[in-house]
Amino acid sequence: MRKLNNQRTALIAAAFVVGLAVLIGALVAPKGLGAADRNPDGSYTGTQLEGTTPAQWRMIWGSDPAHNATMSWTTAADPKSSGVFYDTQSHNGELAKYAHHVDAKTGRYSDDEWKLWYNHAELTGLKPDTTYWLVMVSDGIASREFHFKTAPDGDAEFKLLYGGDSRSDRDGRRTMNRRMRTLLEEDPEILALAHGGDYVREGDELEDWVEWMTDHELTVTEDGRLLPVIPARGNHEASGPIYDEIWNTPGKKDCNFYSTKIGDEFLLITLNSNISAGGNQADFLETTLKDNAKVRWQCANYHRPAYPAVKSPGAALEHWVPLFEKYNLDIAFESDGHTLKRTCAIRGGKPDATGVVYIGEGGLGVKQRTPKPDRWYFKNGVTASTLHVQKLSVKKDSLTVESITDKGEVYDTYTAKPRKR
Amino acid sequence: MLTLRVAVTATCIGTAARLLMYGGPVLSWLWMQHGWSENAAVKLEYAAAFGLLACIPFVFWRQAWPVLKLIAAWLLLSTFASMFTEPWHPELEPGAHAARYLAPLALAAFCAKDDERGRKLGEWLLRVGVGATFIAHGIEALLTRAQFIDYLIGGAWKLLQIDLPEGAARGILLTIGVVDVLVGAGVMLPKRWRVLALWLAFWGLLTASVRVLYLGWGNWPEMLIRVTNGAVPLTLFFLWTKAKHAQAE
Repeated sequence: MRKLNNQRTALIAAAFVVGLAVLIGALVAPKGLGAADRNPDGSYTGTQLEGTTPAQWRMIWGSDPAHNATMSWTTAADPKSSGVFYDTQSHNGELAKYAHHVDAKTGRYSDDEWKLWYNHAELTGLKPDTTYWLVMVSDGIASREFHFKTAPDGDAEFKLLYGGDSRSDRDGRRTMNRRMRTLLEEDPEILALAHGGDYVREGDELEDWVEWMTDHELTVTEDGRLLPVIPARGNHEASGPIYDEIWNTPGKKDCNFYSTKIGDEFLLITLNSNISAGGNQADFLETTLKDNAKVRWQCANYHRPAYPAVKSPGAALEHWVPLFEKYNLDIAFESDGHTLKRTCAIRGGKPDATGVVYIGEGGLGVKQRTPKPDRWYFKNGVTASTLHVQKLSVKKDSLTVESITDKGEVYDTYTAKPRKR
Repeated sequence: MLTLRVAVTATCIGTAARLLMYGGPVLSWLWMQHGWSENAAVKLEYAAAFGLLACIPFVFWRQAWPVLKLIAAWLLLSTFASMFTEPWHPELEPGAHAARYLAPLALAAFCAKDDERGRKLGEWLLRVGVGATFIAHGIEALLTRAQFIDYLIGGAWKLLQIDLPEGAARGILLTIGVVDVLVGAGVMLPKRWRVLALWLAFWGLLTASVRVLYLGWGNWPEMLIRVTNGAVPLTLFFLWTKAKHAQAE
């Protein structure tokens, strides 16, 4: 015993036991990780940021996309005048022929290093379910002609895309943007993309956003169709002002939560998991769900998951899930985990066919993690480590969500039937 | 010293559980930002988790004090990695985790030299650790960290059945922030205020247990990791009480 008490013995014993444990740990670690595919092309093309040439185009949808939309772009110089010419028919960029014009509000992005200006033109009084052609003009320099389709009204059938986490891997992001463009070209019923947040790694660095916005141009189809974005704030956007400058402050400032109604029978509630989940936001969620209790399809979109495939649960589990269950939400779209997932239907913390299904976890370009499929809520669910985007087909008698990989393969399909409301 | 040994043990268990259950910041840092394969980064974290668990018996073996430096090294590496992966005020991470990584170093100082120098060094490592932790958390509260607002709203409902409005929670959080910064600074002054140490211990243990009160028992690793926030000032209280009695004699 005396021998055991000397320090040399103690250290040898410690080195042996700890060293052995470290070795065992390395040996029992799960294998076969990090196999997500990449499609790097090496060239980052996009509209050159030069003077007041409109670049980095993005269309933003808010609460009422049947009647309103915001067309936004970036210029490298401060424009004296900026605006959008638009019409319900194409004029191939001949500005004088467009029936409508709206001025854009402009301002400098909050960044000391980069001198760039945002331009937001708010198009109001639009007709539902109508294709609009438009041209962006800053100080007389015009973009090419683009077009987009407004959301329908009434009890309409349509499609949407959902995806999150387009940060940290530019090649992956560009691959997924091209994939979304292909989907849009193949299926014109797709109206918009609901983004689940974490667009970039450093949300307070404009340089990251410049890359993101340039890459977003890849979602535009060959014939100039725009893919409108319904944005949600992720944790990597932090709380800085650039997010609001890029997306024209969706929801109120410092809130960024809002609801979008597409037609009479589809509700998408965009929440902000970067601010308090339990205070005003929970009140907003409950009021919105109560006010739309009779709407056939109800979905939510937010970043940090309640039922994660890799990490630990966020505040949504405590503050939003009880409301989802109380008002019978159909699907909650979640991001953040960098993996593909679909849970079983959950109610009261256990599988229940009448419960809410959680889909997503973010695969718009970020490197994919290996999920933890043994978690209870993946029994009868799906997990995978692959870049992906979800396509929602909203119909009168079903709501189908297909998880589509970067290769265009349908990895998983989930179909919900209308609830009794 | 038993309090400190138990706290370091709790941190080892909590950290290991977090690594095995969810993965930690080192994985994200090496994989997402330094081109490691996910496989290699996970292997490293699993190795660290098993290593931390294997260190536990040696935490109670005085002569094996260098093992405590290994524990501190991993906790410091985790803190460093979280500075590059945590998007919300990453500059506060070294302060917020200070009690966690300085506790094993303080214990090593106490064990290595059983003299006045060792005791003084250990005591000051504990003071700086808990002081920095409270100041960093106080600043986070003053910046109204969303997570803290939710803890207050969720806690008020679960414990008292009070529907706390967000505005009120923000107000309370600002008060907590001011108090945390003041008491954090206070413990780093060359005074031995035992009442202050007791308050820090109470608040540190309460806020650690909030992780379980708020999100349920499944969140136990997060509570264990933070046990040092209360155990370190409790150790200071015992040390100062012992010193006072020694002085009286």
